[in-house]
Amino acid sequence: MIFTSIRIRNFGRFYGTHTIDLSNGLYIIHGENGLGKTTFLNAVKWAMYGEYFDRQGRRVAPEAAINSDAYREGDKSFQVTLGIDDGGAQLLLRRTQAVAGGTNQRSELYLERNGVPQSQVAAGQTINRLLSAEVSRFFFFDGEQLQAYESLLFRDDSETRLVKQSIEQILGLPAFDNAVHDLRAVQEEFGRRQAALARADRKSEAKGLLAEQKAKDLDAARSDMAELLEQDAKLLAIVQRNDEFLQAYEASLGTLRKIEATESEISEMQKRSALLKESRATALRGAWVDVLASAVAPRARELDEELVAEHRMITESILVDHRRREIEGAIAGGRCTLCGHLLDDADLDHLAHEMGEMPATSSQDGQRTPRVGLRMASLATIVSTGQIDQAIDLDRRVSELQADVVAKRQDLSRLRAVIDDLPENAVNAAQRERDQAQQELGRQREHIERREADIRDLVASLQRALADIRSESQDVEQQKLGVAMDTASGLVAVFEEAKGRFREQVRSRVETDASDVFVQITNEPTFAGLRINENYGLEILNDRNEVVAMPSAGQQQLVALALIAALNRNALRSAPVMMDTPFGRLDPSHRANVLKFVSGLAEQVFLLVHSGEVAQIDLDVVRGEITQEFDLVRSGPDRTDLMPGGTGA
Amino acid sequence: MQAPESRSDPLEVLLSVAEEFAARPENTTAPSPDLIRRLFQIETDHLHAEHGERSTVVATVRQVIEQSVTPT
Repeated sequence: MIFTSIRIRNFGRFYGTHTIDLSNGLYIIHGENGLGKTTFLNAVKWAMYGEYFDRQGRRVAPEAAINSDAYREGDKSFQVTLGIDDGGAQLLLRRTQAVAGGTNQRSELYLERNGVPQSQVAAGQTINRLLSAEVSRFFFFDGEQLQAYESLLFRDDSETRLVKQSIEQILGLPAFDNAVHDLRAVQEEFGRRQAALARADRKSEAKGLLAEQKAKDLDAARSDMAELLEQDAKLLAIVQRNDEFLQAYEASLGTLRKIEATESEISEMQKRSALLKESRATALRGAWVDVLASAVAPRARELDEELVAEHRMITESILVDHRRREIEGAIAGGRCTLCGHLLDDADLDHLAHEMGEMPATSSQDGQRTPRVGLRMASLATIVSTGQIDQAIDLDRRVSELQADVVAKRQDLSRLRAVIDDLPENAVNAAQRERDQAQQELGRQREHIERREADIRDLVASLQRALADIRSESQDVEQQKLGVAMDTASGLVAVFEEAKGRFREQVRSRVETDASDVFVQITNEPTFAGLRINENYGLEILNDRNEVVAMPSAGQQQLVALALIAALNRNALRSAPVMMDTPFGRLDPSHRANVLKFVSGLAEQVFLLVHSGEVAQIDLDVVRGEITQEFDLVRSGPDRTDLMPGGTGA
Repeated sequence: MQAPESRSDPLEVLLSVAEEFAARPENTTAPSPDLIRRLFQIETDHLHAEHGERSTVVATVRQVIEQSVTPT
């Protein structure tokens, strides 16, 4: 089937009526967050199944779906209409919901096939045939949650069985089951007619009565069996319910282990915090030096300048002393100390005058140098310690650690709250109830096996009685019924064997097709394919044929996409695929891989994407395969328009 | 877009099993391929029949089998 049109009125952000006409192919609907991509998907789901769920799996109430502007203006109903092409037959499916006076009426479903309205029951059956709600999760889905659906197929509970049953429904297996059921009913009817015919004949009356009695015994045994199976289902439900509870308990034990680990972590952090505080105290003790450093620095510069001046002064003083000694020598000797010529009175007066002009010097001046250097060295040590920086760093680390401790304590109180909520008695009671139900289930299964054996014996016995009647009867009708009976038996055998073989074939086909797709869309060269389980769950195999443990969320999403592709290829009927935010967990290269194959996923594919997820440039790889693009455009606080486009606006 | 040729054909599987069934010496009465085709078509057409409608399907199946064993 494909959608030929989708019309949405007053649903979510879609104020008024918005209609798009469709054919097969790839449709891209662009919309930024909050503009109605998920609403569009939910509108289709709601039209088909009368309900839809939020991302937490909660059913969304009808009053939450109506457009608030429409409601304020007095239009208190919303409606979604789907035009559907079902293998050439034209279907019109319309669901309407009134939201008035605080009471929610049931939604009203209208379905017509080739212009002929169908009853409510027939409408429900048609939708189920087109795409059952259980299977629809693999066709209309939120890409973010896809891997959760796939992982569902690795569980063993009623929901998994329901999904498996639905998958087998789209793969065409129920036709075999129904045939076997119908043929058995026909066989029994033939048997009853044979017995009745024999009883009516005086010659075979006793045998007829015997066969009728055996048929009654068989009916009673079957009725008994139905009751046993009903009880079995109830016991199984008890076991499953308690298993779920006990699994939650196990999870709580995990929480307890987390509490212990958190407590140990906090203790370690406290120790580290104490050490850091000690280091901080030490650093702070030394930090006064840094505090002083800023005050001392100008003095250090002064000392430096003083030192230079002192050096200059000392040099001058040495030169003066030397000259003084020369003059004193010349005056005392009456001759020049350098050339030896005799000095006259004028020379001596000149030298005496020079001596008089000379500055006074001290032999102690030279000793001032070491004192200034010592003070300089001390100041240099103070300035370069960096104790304040160290103290600040330690302080920051202590604060961070304390913040971590507070966060851990908060985690701890949350975990404790979980544990406190755990009713210990209820756990013990659940364990007892589960064990009792399990034991009873064991006994019940033995009863069922015995009853099954009884039924097989009764069937064989009835068949012998009927064969006996036929062998001795000359009655044409009796002979004809006998042949019909044998034919029906042969048909049952053929349909049963074919069912087993077809199931194996189709499962193997799904595995092969899913593997093909997966290998195409993954970039991991060591991934060799997928392996399927009984429930159609798929595991990744590496090139050594080993199961890849703990695949990433993105890889799981690729596996789920591969399963969808395989189901579509093998389905008895095809269905559109509508993906909301399908590339959320994929990196750009995987996104390109998926985009290349996505149009082949089904006859009709819808991608609901935002610009951060798929830019126009990404779409170039599938440009030729896009049938049409639409933009979800904000037209008011609670209004979105669905516009033909493709600008990615 | 799809690859319909890739899917397994349930009718083919049925006919193949029926052929093997007929070849076994212990099976003196084997359903004909035509009968199998007709029954499979009925079942496919009424795949989602429930309760009340199911009994109508059973009656149709009975009728088809009876017709198949009645010499014409």
